[in-house]
This record gives sequence, C-alpha cells and structure tokens, in this order.
Amino acid sequence: MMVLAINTSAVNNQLSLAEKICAWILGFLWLMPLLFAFWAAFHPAEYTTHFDLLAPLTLEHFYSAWEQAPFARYMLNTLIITTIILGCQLVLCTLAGYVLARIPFRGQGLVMALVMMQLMVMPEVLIVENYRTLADLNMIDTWVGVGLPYMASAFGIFLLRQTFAIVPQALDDAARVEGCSRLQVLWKVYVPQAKPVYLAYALVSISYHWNNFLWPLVVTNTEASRPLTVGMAIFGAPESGVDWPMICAGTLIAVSPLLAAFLIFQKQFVQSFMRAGIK
Amino acid sequence: MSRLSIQKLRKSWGDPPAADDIDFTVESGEFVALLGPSGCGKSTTLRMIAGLEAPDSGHIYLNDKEITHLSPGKRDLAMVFQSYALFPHLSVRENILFGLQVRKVSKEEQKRRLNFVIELVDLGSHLHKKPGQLSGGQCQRVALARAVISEARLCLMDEPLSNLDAKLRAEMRSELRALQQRLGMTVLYVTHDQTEAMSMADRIILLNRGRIEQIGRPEELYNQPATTFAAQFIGAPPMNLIRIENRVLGVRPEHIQLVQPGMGLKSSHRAVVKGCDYLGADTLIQLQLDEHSLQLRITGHQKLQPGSSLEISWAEQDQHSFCRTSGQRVAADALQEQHIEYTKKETHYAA
Repeated sequence: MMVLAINTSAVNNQLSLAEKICAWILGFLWLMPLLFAFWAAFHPAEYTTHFDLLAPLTLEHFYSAWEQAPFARYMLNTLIITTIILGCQLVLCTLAGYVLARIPFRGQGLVMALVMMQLMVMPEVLIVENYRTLADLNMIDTWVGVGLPYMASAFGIFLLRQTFAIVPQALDDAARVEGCSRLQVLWKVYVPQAKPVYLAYALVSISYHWNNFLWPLVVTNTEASRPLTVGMAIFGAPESGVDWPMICAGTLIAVSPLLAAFLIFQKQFVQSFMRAGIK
Repeated sequence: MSRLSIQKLRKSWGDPPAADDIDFTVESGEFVALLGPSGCGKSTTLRMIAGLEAPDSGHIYLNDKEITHLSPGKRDLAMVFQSYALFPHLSVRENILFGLQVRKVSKEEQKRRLNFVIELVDLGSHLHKKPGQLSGGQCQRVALARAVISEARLCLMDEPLSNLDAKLRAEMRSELRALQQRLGMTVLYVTHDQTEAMSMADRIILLNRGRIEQIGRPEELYNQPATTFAAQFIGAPPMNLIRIENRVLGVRPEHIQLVQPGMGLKSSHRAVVKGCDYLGADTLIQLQLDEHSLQLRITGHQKLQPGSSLEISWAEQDQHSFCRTSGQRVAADALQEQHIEYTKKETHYAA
C-alpha cells in the first residue's frame, strides 16, 4: 500500500514510463491478497477459486463469520489496546521528546543514543523477557499487558524530539516570560505546532498495533484481552476446517476500520515517513 | 513606580566572561539602550534580567525586590524579541491575549486592555489573521501590543527593529519612542545600531567584551567618549584616532574643517587626499596626515583628485585625548598640552 500511495502522489511526474509501469505492477501485486479477500468474501463458496464476473453477490460469509467468532469482543479489545498504547505513547513521547530537545542535562547524549539503539531492536527479540516481566507483574492476559512493551516508543520519542528541536527558542522564551510554566509551554507552544506530526505518528502507531500479532498471541489467553488478529488466527486455524470465504469475510471485518482510516489519511500517512526521514 | 537595579552581574561560559561586573539602574519611565557590537554581552545581560539565563553571580532588583532567582513569568516584566516570537498557530488576538490568559486575568479586563492596545498600535482590522499573513511591520506591532497589554513594570526589547527594512525601521523608531513616552513605559532596549540608541534612548549603556564602557546620555557619549572604543563606536563614520607617543588624539570627521591655503593658521595641517566617497548630502574624504589616516566629512558633492593636498584644522574643544595603553579619556586640562604636542611634532617634520 505504501508503494501505491507514493506512486499516486507528488512523485508521479518525476518518474519515467518504465518506472511507472514497475510501480503499478508492484502496487498491484501488493493489492492482490486484498482483492482476493474481497472476491472470496462477497461470493458463494463455489466461486472462491473460480473467477466469473457474473457470479452472484452474497453477504452470508459475513453473517456466519460474525456468528462463529466473538468479533465484537475482539474488535473492542483491539480498540482498547490500541487506544491505551497510543494514549501512553503520546504522553510519554511528548515528555521525553521535549526534554531531549530543550532541557540540557548530564548524559543527554547517552540517553539519546540509547533511544536510537532501541529503534534497531525488534520487539520480537524481547518476547521471552517481556513475558517473564509481565508474569511477575501479574499482567498476562490483560489489555495493559498487551500494550506495555510498546508504550515508550523510540520512534515516537525520536520523531517528536526532531519536531520540537526546530521550534524557535524565542517562542519558548516568550511563553515563559508571559508566565507559562514548563508544562504550559509544552502544551501551549510545542504541542500545537507539532499537530501534523502527532497525526502522522498516530496513524503509524494505530496501523502497527491494530495488525500486531505475535506478541498479543503470546500474552493473551482468553477472549478477555484477545485482539482481532489473534482471534482471526484461531478462527481460521486448520483444525476447525479451512473455510476460505469465511476467513476472508472475517479478515475484511477486522481490517475495515483501518482500511477506511488509511484511505482518509493516506497523505499524512506517507508524509509521516518522509518527515522522519525513514522510508 | 518601576526601577531596575543591576548589581555586579556576571555570566560566563568560558574565558572571557560573556558579561562581567554589570552595574546600572534604569529609572521609572526611562528609556535605556544597551548598546554594543555583537558578542559584547548585551543580549546575555537582557536574558539574565528576563530570567531566561541564570547569572553566575550578582543581583537584580525590580522596585527594591530581588528578582535574581525568580522564574521569568514571576518577574512582572514583558519582552519583545528580535524574531517577534509570535505563536504561529494563534491569531493576532490570541497572541496579544496570550499572557493575560495564562495569568487568568478576567474576561472583562482582557477585553478592556485589548481594545486599548489595538487602537494604540493600529491593528484593528487584522485581529483574526495568523502571524503568517502579516507583514514584518505588522508582526512588530503585534509583538509590541503583547508587551504593552501585560502592563508590566519593565519592558525588555531585544533588537526589535533589526528585522525590518531601513525605511520601516526609521518609522517604527519614532513610533516606538512616542508610544513609550505616552505610556510612561520603562524600557531597556538592546541594540547594536548606534543610530537607534542615539535617537531613542534617554541614556545609553555602552558594552564591550562583556563589560560596561560608558553610561551616559546620547550627547555625553558623543561629546565626551570615555574610551577609544566609545569614541569609535558612536558616530558614523567613527572618530579619527591619531596615535602619538603615549596618547591617542581623537577628532570626529564632521569636526574637521577645510582651511583656505595660505591663511597661515598656526593650528592647520597639510594632508593628502587618498579618496572620496560621495554620500548625497555630504562627501567622505580619506586623507593622509603624515603617517596617519583620517576621514573628513564635508557637505555637498566634493570632487577631489587623489594626491592633491588640503589644509585642515579643527577647534580645540572638538579634540579628544585618550591614554594610549588603557584607552581611557584623559581629563580636559591635559587636552591643551596634547594639541600643542601634535603641532610641535608637525613643525618638527616641516623643519
């Protein structure tokens, strides 16, 4: 989807014809599974692997998928987990980013280096250790348990630090002379100016955690905290017999909120990567 | 009302200190300029008074209350920044009211003060615009309005006009001065532009390398510069300094007169023209007097051939004398002797 989005935006006129064709092919390949999911979900089972433009449309798979798995509960779990993570990330990254950008302290360079190093560590590497910590905290199979390892996001801290660092120092000074405390300066001067960055970061974070699978699979045991992705995997597990149209319908139910959000915020989504200098 | 008193203020990031032994007062309703070249410590001094920079030592009093260690917002002062420091996400109105809202001033009071300052700085039609839609001069007015509306005891200004073009700067200069007079504001104004300081300030504090060179009224700085630095910094073009033995003799370019050749004035000197700069109202002439380079300013368009010679002289009261080693001004009674000394030397050359 990234490829497609970049392809259709501003870069368009700078590309040669060959590059354009390649981009379209890549984009199409990228889109194939989604197109198949749409096809399979909206048509009777006999047409799943049989392409016919005149095949009758049906919503039965959506009904049965919704009946067979507690999608509403999974959706609620995903929504709450994503919200908790995003909320904590915004607060923590804002505070950390501001301190790293504007308040000098001993060892600042070291802290910044550690944050940057965290960017390079895949969270999956830490699964065992994180599980042990959460077990000690008695947080296995809770919403917070799913979210906790992601709350101090290095990417978010880095992104906001960069954004805050280019806010003119004079604005900070002016707000302080006008009577603002440090936190008021942050809230009234820095945060409003970083609005587009917050939006972009929120989109990236939501899409990542909405789709996150491995960690929630490890740390959740019951419907009480299981998010959509894990629920989908159990729903489509081979021992219950593979029913492709129903899995596709379930998948579409799962991704639809995200898909809608992506289509609406496509531009900001791409910009967020440009802004952070990471493509 | 408001009286600012600075005692032994010092700030250092290394050697030499950015500001050292800064000692001065600003009386109520006074317009005082902190003048000096870039890096002289004037902005550091201002930022210490504002509380944006912590001094290493020394004391700051506002109305006999020590404010040295208070946070900027608790000092009861306003500040205008060189870059205007308007909040780009807020409208003009919100920018002006920013401080009052932070300090939770009542809505009626906010409205009353806003109406007053809007009229004062003539911004009525721009209240709902964002700073990005305003011209430099208008931004300047918004920044000024934000400082005035706080009704703070002291207003600090950090080169507020330096981002404007020359014509607008001259207009704003007189406007700012008129505003200060009308409201009886106490202003401490940082600038590197001696014209601004000379034309607006009641008193000037001249800084050099983190130390005060001279404090005085503009005419005092012009007529009786305390050091060679002050002599060269005030006035454009700078004062001519002629080094003779252990003294430095100073004459302003505008105080040197041309003398008709052959008049035989005993205090006149023969100098050689090196070049001319025509400035419109007057002409700057570079001269060579013995081994010294001089500048001379005369009215009108003067075309002088390089190499031709001129007879020049200056009045005794226009001559300044400084110690060569310390650069300090030498008292007036020594002046007479100094002048004779130069004449003697010239006679010696002629002989």
